[in-house]
Amino acid sequence: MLKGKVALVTGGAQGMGEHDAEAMLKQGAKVVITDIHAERGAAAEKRLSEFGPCKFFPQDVTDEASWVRVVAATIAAHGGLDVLVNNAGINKRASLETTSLETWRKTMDTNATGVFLGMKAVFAHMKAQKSGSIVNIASINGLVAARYPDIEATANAGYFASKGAVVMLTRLGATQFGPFGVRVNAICPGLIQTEMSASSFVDPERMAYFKAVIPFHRYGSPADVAHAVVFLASDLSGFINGVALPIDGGYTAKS
Amino acid sequence: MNDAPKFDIHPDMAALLNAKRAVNTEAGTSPLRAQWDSYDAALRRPYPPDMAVRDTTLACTLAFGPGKGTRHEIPARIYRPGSAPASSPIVVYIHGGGFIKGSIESGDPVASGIAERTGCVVISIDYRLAPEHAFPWGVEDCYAAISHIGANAALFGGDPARVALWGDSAGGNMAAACCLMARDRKGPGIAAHVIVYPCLNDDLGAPSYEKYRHAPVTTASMDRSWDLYLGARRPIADPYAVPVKAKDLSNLPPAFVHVAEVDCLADDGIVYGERLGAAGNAGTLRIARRMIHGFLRARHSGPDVAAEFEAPCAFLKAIFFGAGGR
Repeated sequence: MLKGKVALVTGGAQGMGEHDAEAMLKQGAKVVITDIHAERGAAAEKRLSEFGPCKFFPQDVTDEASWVRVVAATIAAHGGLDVLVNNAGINKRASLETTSLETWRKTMDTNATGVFLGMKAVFAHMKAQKSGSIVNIASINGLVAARYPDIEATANAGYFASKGAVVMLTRLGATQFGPFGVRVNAICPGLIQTEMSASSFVDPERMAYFKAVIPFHRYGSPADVAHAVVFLASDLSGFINGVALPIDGGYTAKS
Repeated sequence: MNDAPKFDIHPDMAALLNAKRAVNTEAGTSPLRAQWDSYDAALRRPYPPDMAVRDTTLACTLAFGPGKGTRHEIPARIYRPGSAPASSPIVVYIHGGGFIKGSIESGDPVASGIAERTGCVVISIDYRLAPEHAFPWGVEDCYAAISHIGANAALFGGDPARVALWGDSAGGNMAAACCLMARDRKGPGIAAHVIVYPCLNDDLGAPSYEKYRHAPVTTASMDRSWDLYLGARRPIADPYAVPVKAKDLSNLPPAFVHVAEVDCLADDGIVYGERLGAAGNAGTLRIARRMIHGFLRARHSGPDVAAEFEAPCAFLKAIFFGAGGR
C-alpha cells in the first residue's frame, strides 16, 4: 500500500510510533524514525530493519534546526520524503488545578510546537514534489474533555491544550498545504494500551471503568492506530484532508 | 616546480596542471593572493546568460570567538541562476586557499558552477585570512555569515529550511567546522554539507601525506598553511580547527565528502567520511579517481571531471528537490 514511499515518524523508538513505523514498513515504505532517546532509537532501528529499510536519527522535535537536518537526512538516506507522522508526544498526569507551569510549557513544546515545526519543515519539499501526506497524532483529548473517575490520573492541562492545538494545526495545514497537493490529517487515539499509557491501566477498578465507557468494551491496541496511519499515509485516502479521526471504539460518539 | 607527472593523473586534469605550474606557492602571501584570484583564468567560462550575479556585504555581528560582539562586513557574491525558484534553496559556498589566500574572486568558477548545475541560489562568502587573522577568526566569520544567511534567507530569495554548505580545501574545513558549531551552539539549521578535498588535520601523519608528498599540492605547502593558520597553537585538538579530531560526529547534516585521489589530503577526507557514516549520519563518500586537488575548477576540461562536479550537485538537488530532481 505504501510501496515507493518514504515515511518519517517522530517519537518512533517506542510505543505507538514504533508500531506506526512497523506497519508502514510492512506495507512497503522506507522509514526513518527519530526520537530524543538515542539509545532506544538505535535499538528500534535494529528491530524495525527486519521489516524493511529503516534508519534512525536522533532528534529533539522542539529544535527547529534539527528538522532541517532530519528532513535532509531522510531524503539523503531514502531518496525522498512522502509521509510525515508527527507522533512524538509526552504526557504527565495532573488535573488542570495541579498542572505546573513547567509541565504546561514542556508539554505544549513537545506536543504542539514539535508538530508545528514538523509541518513547516517538510512543506518546502512536499510542495516542490506536489504531493505528500502529513499525519498528526492528536488525541481524543484534543476533541473532548473526557470525564475520568480520577481527574489527577488522566492528563495535564498542557496535554489537552496541545492536542487541541494539533487538531487546529491540522485544519490549518489542510487549508494552506492542500492547494499544493499536500494532505494533512490528524488521528485522535482514544484509550490505547502502550508502554506510555500502561501505567494508567494497572488499577483494576479504573480498567473496569474505562472498559465500561467505551462502546466497544475494550481498549485500543497500537495496531488499531497504526492501521489508520497507514491508510492516511497512503493514496487510498487521496481526497481525505483536514480530518481529525478518532480511533476510540466509539468513545467520543456518545454523550 | 613539482613532480606531478610521475603520478598517474587523469587527462582531464591537464589544463589545471598547466595553470597550477604558473603559481609560485613559495611566494609571500600578498603576491600569492593576487595570483590565486585568477590563476585558472584559462579554465573559466562566462556565466550562463540567465544567471544574475551581484556582489554585496553581509552585515554580521559576531556572536562567538575573539571578535565576539564586533560588527564585520563580510564580502559575498550572490548567484541566482535563471531556473532558481522564488524561494530557492541556498548553497553557501566557502572558498579554499589554505587558510591564507582565496576570496570570492578565486571562488568564482566553482561557486558559479554550483549555481549553474544545481539551479539554486549560491552565496559565496569571504572570511578573514591567516596569518593576519589566525584560527578561529576565519571560521567564526563563516559561522557568522551562515547564521546571517539562515536568519535572512528571504532577503536573498531563499528558503531558510534549505540552506546547505559547500566548501573545498580550507573551505571544506570551514564547512565541516561550521556544521559542528551549528550543532553544538544550537545554531542555524543546515540541510546538508559538501566538503571537497578538505583540509581537516594539522597532523600530517596519514599515509597519503607521504605518498602524495610531491603532488600538485605538496605536503610542505599544507604544513606551511597550518603553521600560519594555527601559529603557536599547533598541534591543536580543537574540532573547530581540525574537524577530523572531533570526538563526537553525531547529529550532523547529510554529508557529501569528495576526495581527490592524487592528493596528500585524501586519507583525512576518507577517514572523515567514514567516521560521519559510522556516527549515523546520512551521506556519501566519493573518491575522484586519478584527479588532483582543485579538480572542481576543471569542470569544463573533460567528461570525467564534469561528472565529478555533477555528483555533489546531484546530491544537493536530491535533498532540495527530491530524488527525481526537478
